[in-house]
Amino acid sequence: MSTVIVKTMARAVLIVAILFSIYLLLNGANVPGGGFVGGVLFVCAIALVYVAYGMKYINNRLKPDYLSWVAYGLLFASITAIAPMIVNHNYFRSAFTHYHLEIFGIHIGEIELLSSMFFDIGVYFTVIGALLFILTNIASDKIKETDESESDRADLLGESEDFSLKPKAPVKTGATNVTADITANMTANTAANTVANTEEFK
Amino acid sequence: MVFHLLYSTYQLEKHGVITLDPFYFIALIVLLPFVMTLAVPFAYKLMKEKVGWFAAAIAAVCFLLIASMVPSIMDGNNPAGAVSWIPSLSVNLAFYADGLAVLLGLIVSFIGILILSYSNKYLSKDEDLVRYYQYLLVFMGSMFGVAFSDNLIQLFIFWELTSISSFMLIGYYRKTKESIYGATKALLITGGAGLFMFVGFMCLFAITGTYGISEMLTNPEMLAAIKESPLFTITLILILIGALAKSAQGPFFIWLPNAMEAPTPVSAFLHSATMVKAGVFLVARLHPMFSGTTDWFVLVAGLGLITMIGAGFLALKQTDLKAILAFSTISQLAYLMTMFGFTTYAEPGIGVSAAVFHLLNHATFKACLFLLVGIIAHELHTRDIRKMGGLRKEMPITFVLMVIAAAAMAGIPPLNGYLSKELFYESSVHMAEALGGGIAYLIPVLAVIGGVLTFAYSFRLILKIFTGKRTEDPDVPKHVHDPSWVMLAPPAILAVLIVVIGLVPTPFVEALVQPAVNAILPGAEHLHVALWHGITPAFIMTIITFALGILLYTQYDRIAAWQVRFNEKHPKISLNYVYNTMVDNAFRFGATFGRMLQKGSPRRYVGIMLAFIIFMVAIPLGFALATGQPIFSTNLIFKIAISEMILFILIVLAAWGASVLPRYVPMILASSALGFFVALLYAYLKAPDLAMTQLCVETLSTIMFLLVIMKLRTKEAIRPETNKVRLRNAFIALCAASALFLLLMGADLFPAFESFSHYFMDKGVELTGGKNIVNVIVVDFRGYDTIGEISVLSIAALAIYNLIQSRTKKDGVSVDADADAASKTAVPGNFVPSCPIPGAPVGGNQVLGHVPCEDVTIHQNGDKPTMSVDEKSVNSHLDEGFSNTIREEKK
Repeated sequence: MSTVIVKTMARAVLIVAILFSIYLLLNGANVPGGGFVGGVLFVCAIALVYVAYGMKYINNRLKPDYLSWVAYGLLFASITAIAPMIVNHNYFRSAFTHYHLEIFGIHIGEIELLSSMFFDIGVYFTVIGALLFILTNIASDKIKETDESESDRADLLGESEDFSLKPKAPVKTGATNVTADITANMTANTAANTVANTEEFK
Repeated sequence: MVFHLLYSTYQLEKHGVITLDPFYFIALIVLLPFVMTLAVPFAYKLMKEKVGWFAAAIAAVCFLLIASMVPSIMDGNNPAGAVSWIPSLSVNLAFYADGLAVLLGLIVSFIGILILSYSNKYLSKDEDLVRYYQYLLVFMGSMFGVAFSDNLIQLFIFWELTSISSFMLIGYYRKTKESIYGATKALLITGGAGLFMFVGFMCLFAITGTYGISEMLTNPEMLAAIKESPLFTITLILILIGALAKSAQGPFFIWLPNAMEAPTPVSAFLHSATMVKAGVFLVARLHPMFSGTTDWFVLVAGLGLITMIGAGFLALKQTDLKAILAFSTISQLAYLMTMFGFTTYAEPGIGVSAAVFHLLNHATFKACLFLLVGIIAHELHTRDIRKMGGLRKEMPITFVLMVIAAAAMAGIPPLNGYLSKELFYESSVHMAEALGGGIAYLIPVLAVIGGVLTFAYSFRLILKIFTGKRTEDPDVPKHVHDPSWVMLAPPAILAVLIVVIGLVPTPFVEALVQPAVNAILPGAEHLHVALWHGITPAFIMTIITFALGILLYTQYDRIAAWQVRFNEKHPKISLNYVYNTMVDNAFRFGATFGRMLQKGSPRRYVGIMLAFIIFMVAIPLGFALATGQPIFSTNLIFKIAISEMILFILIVLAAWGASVLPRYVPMILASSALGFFVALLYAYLKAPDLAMTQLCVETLSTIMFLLVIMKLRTKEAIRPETNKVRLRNAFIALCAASALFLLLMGADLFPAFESFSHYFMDKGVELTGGKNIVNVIVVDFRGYDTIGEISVLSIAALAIYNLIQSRTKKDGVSVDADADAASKTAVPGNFVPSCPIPGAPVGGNQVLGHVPCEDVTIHQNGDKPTMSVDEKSVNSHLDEGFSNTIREEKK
């Protein structure tokens, strides 16, 4: 999986995906989207980078303290829920307002500010934190003593060496065999590439 | 509300206490300890081991605030106020201060000041002081909440908070088995009984239609309605269960002796002076609703008398100082209960007045006794009374204080215990006369027996510890001395109070007792307390008590020895035996049931869930078939476009692939393909939000699935089961599918609820400003749900983290130890945690499961030896190994 193409694409897609996830978050009130899906998309983008580069690459760039993202997200969401009570409204009361944007007297658009969007931001960070926390924990689970990130990704597409081990039950014919064959072919083709490329990108 | 509270405190500084709105003033008292809990860690950073003074200062502030209400309460005003919380259910945040609440509040805060100061020296520097003072402050706030609540639901919440803080404090020494046992016992009994009380409150609501306490108490119609209601007896019993368990009365007393595992200041605070008074407080609080009936007299006074004598008798055999005090607390609280029960028929007032007065007196002398016992245990490093003796010369101040406190408990004039005990005797005589004499004179006789027992164990505390010979025991230090003033001052203050109340009772009665009596029993006689009333029946009873008490003391050892022998002979005749059996059986049942369900195989769980679905559909289906009702809706229209058809076929294909593919990776890919097709279906059905979310979630879950599978290194075939098992699985799957199909087909037969989605659509833009209805519902209309969901997500993340961490630790060792063989071991089926190979060296930690050698076969596969393990064997040994691991961790 760690081919040059994937690595290059991952970087490009990462930026687009993150921008789109922020777009989803901010525009959720009016077009499809919202904090939850935005957060999941963000984590998907990170997962793509993980598949291409490995966990170390991410941990070197993002502070791997995702649990505090969860905490701050929850705190933020709770505060936005409680905030109306300070000015004697009900719990979770929301408010919104519109702003006209003008430059040199020319109307160029309208901005809508929703208090519920702040709540959505809390959701966004909680989702990102929780999912990244799960992802990184599973990914950096040190069961093997080999270099985990490399062999992990090799395994992801079935590139590991002992995949040829015969299953106990006889393999059925048909679709099953096709898949197995594809996997086997890919194993053979990419195994050499993987090693070369990873060396290069380290 | 928060804003108002801040404003109120501002007002407090500006104008002084009186101008405050009563609601915010009382709310301030109740919430101050809770809020200050957050400040304890910061105070600890500044003050280190002296942080107890900070907590004591908070208690002092509360004391002053409550005391400032006394003048207005004496004038007959009852400050009260409420803000609505759940008005539709009559649940409000309501506070109410009357004489009774103020009395309890003053006792709690005053004893709190002394206890928190005393703790400064009692606890050593190395202990977790922050936790200790936080729990104590939470407890204090909850007690204020119980005292000042004007709503039964709110009272219940604070009530259970006291149970929880008591649980935390009893289990303060987390490592010892006894404190875990004691804490669990206290929580199970008081918390469990609290649930009965909760049902009792709901019965009251059913009768009166309100949860407001003062509303019920001040409305004569409601009081009459309660007494006439057919629910009366059951309501009374349910509420009494809660109150009796809290006050360790009747059969519920067994938790209190075990609660003595808490640090001694905690015992002095919670388990003698304040928390156990909550039950008595509730009985007093609800007195106007239930008193004046036979039920009330029989249940409250009857149980009280039995407990009083039983606990007093059991106190004789105790050898642990704190256990003696625990049983004496039970017995003294039973005095209070009895006196509240005495008010039924005649001369109302004497019983209640005596009870309230004794409530105050008992708090003073019992807290004092506990603090003194704490000093003795602190100096002697033991609480075994058999090892003590002759400490009079070494600890003179402690000795004097002990004489005062124990004599007050025994009822020796001129101390305060004498006064309230006289009243107790007087009320018992009145009660007997009111019942018409004859057999009713048994009541004063029982009262005297209770007094005699109290006299005997009180004097044992003085005589056995301080007089006689100094024992030569290796555990006891050779030289002891009075502790520093920090530990001596609190009991000394209490001892002074004991003497002062005894000599000049009138100001205390006027300021504290009489308002409380008026709150419980409006129109009660004014209480006159004096040391000398002339030769009354009560006085004669006191003389008899002293005489018999001295007599009993001479036989003390024989009675104690007889009790011990009896217990040894009949170990099953004890409430503790009943409790232990019940709890053990509950655990055993839970474990059996858990083992039945939790076999560690996800497939089994899915099977159980599907079977349940089938069950849930089969019953109404069978019923419909038997009665000849239609099971299908007749006006269903099937119209599926070709494009939809293709999508459905793809979905079915993917599902089929996921269930028949022979390896994990293709299987996961097939199942994620299924997910993508479903996303496509959502998009096709014009649900872009759902489709997008489904796509993202599916992508991520595929990656995670692959990660997990690769980490587990299970590359064996995944379908080792026989044809029989497969047939069974297929049958279950088919049945579940048909059940769901029938359910959907029949859904149209029933009238649908009125949909409220149009409300969201109509009002969405107007109320929230958002045009995307899905998002608006999630973050605005149903924001409450969402906040719950993200909390669940966070908890799930933590749970997964813990799972992985625990697995990594155990497996890590086994892999390192036998890296060559074990890392290649694969266990077929769903059993994934790597299991150690028998005979191979295993590190310090034990691993999950152990499998006997005969179940392991080694295949010579090229140059790499692989092993396979009999799955049945692994499963059967998994539980065992797992429970072993847990047991080890507990140690």
